[in-house]
Amino acid sequence: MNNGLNDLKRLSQVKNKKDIKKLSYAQFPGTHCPLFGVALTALLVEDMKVLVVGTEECTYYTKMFAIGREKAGEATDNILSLVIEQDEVVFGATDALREALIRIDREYKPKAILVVTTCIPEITGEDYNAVIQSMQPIINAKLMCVKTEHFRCSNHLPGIERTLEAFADVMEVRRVKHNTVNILEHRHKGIEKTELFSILKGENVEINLSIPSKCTVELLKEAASAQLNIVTDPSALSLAEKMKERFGTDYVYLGKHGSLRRIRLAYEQLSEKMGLRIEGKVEEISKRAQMVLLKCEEQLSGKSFIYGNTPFPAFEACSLFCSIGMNPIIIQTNDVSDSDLPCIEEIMSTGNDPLITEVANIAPLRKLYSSLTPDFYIGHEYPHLLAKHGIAHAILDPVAGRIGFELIEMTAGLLVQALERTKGSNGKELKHAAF
Amino acid sequence: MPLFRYLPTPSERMGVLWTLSSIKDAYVIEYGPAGTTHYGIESYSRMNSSLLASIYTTHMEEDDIVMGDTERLERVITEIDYQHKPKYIFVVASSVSSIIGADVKAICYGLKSDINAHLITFTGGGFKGSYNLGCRDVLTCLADNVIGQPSESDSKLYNIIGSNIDCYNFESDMKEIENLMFNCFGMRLNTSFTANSSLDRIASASNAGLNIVLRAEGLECAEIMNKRHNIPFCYGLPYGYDGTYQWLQNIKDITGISCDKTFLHKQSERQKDHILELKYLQRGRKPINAVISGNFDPAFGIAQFLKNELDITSEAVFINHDNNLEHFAKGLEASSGVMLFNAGEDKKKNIVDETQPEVIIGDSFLIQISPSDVAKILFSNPNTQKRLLCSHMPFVGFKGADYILERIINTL
Repeated sequence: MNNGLNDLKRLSQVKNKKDIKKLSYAQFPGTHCPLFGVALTALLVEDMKVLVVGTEECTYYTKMFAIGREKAGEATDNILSLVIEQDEVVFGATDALREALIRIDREYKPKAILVVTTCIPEITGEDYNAVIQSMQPIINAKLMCVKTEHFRCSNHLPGIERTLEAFADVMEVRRVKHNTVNILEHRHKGIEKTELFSILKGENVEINLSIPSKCTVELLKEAASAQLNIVTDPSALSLAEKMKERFGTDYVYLGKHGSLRRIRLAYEQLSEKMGLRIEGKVEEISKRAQMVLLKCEEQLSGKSFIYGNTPFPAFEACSLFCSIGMNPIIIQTNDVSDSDLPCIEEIMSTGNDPLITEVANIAPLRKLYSSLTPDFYIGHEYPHLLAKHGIAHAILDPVAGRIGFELIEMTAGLLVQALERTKGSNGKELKHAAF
Repeated sequence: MPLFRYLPTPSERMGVLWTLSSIKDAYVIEYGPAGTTHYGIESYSRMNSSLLASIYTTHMEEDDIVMGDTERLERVITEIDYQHKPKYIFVVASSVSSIIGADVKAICYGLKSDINAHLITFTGGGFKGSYNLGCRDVLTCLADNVIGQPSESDSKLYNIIGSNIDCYNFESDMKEIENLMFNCFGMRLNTSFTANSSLDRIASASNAGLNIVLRAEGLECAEIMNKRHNIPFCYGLPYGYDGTYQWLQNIKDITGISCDKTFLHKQSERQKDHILELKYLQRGRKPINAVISGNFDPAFGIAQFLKNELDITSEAVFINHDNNLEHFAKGLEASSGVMLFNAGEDKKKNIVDETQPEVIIGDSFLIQISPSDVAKILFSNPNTQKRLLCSHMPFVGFKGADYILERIINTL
């Protein structure tokens, strides 16, 4: 029986997106759409309103998500909805949009309104950007527009990217303040608890803004006063480029690297561009991270895994895991780009050549757990299903807000914890943390 | 095209997916972009339900939309049919597939000769109306397509039609109805449409001797079964003490099975004491008023309980969906003009502000816009407040009446 594995290519054979094959045409649960990416980002800006223009489903579930995030104390529910029904499909929704913008502006007096268009407005082809431009003179709030049609992209990340890019429209020319930086694409509370913050503080470098985790529309206006942008995720690279072009703000990329060397290089660049003396501190933290990795390697080396999704880019994460002796069986990913090549080489250099398949389609994978017998599933999956197969389950969400070496240290720590939770008394009866 | 500050009214497509989601062994294919499927899948736990059906998305890309290419759907149907060999595949159109004019019915018809599964389509795409219509469509289609001929008819078995995950307290309410039916008539549940059910159980629904219809959306389903399998049905929810007696009386009249008198006598004694407690509190104070919201049948039922048994007047009964079924006219007539279908957020807020109700029985939005010092009972969806784990806290039956009365008494 063809279980789909024969159709997949190995990492060495994958050159571009077209080489990433599906395990099945039917997808479960499927990827999130860019609207979700917008919600992940825009809910963090308190003095902004987000107007979602779409079907009941798009608006209802986004609002539900926002209510949940606010309840958890993680964000502000700033979502409003304009629901497209049959009449708007036929006769257009721009008049309703104009009315809604006036109403929101008067009623809430937000500093900005982010209009988010979804699949249907993009199919009907109404020019929402033109409406927004025509309305700006009579609206006090800064108006922005982000498109989130899912049929033109493969996951939620463009939603994050486009929202961040839209923020550039709020920014104003400012005099540069020496020894200040912006952190771009940090979406979690507690930037003050990060390694990067501590290193910067040690050099009296001030964080001007952490976008979007610690910013408001008013503060975004001041973004260009930072001396340097530190980009912590690829989704913020386009914003960084835009700021460089518009305001001359230089940037360094200190993303979610899975290699100590790449992190050291990023810190070196930061040091150079800001004129800092952080070599000693970086060396010290790097050595500590190396020690932690060595210790974790003792338990993790030789363990096989299926890679699902984590806050890391897929190949960065797998490069890290391979560097401590772990062996990927299957990697789920959406794309392969030139920026992935160093990580892919690192994975291949460890003697691994895993199968590659599309992300967010766990239904056909589940049938393979018993034959593939991975030690780990790394990413989102139902814990009870993995427990039945004795597979250790590592979800890396808790480290999503971490930057630099600490990210690697904590990630390895989470894997060890997951393994320990899953170990049984005699290696046969495995007990999962979920039970 | 109103502006919503809170949650918009869910569409009929959402109703279709919610109603199918709780049927084990149901294979559901969504023909549309993956994002809505993913969002939907994450919503079931928020509705205090689990995803029992196998739901898949085809996803759609720009080429499918521009070129009108429907091959993606055909491949997924063929794949599911081959790999899982289901008896039925439910194919649900999305707003995107509807707008581009993809004829899902015709595609499925074209595949008929190559597919073993029976293909059932839902083509509204979210533009047909509010969620309750989707629920109605699924219940009707199950009666039309899935229920088989009786294999072992048993007059002591009954089905529940209309316990669905969009009903906030469906788990506890269904358990209580099961308790009532067993304690009074010694009857056992055969199958439920559709909470915690399976296609096999639904297929055997014709073995039952009675259908209990909990919502108007299930009436068509019951009528089909009545016509095809001669199964009588009883429509309504048992709210309140007298309301529950009446409900049991109706079942007795339909089935000819007598109620257990000892059980009823015990309930009657408790009822007198409890109502007296409220009457005592009501002495010398202004009449108690309420505002209610929810699906038609629960909201109407609870309003009747408050009015007929507790002397509590409803200032407004907000029905959280459209007035889209003929049967709703009866409720409108009985409610003396206070029943409002799919009222806007502003209208709800204005009525609450103007009438200052002492009792709020409704959804999270109604509770949110009401003052903090009144009796508030979360009674319906949308629910953004509570994760329910207990299945012994009903609103229906004698226990439900006790609970609602207790909450009111303790807040007054």
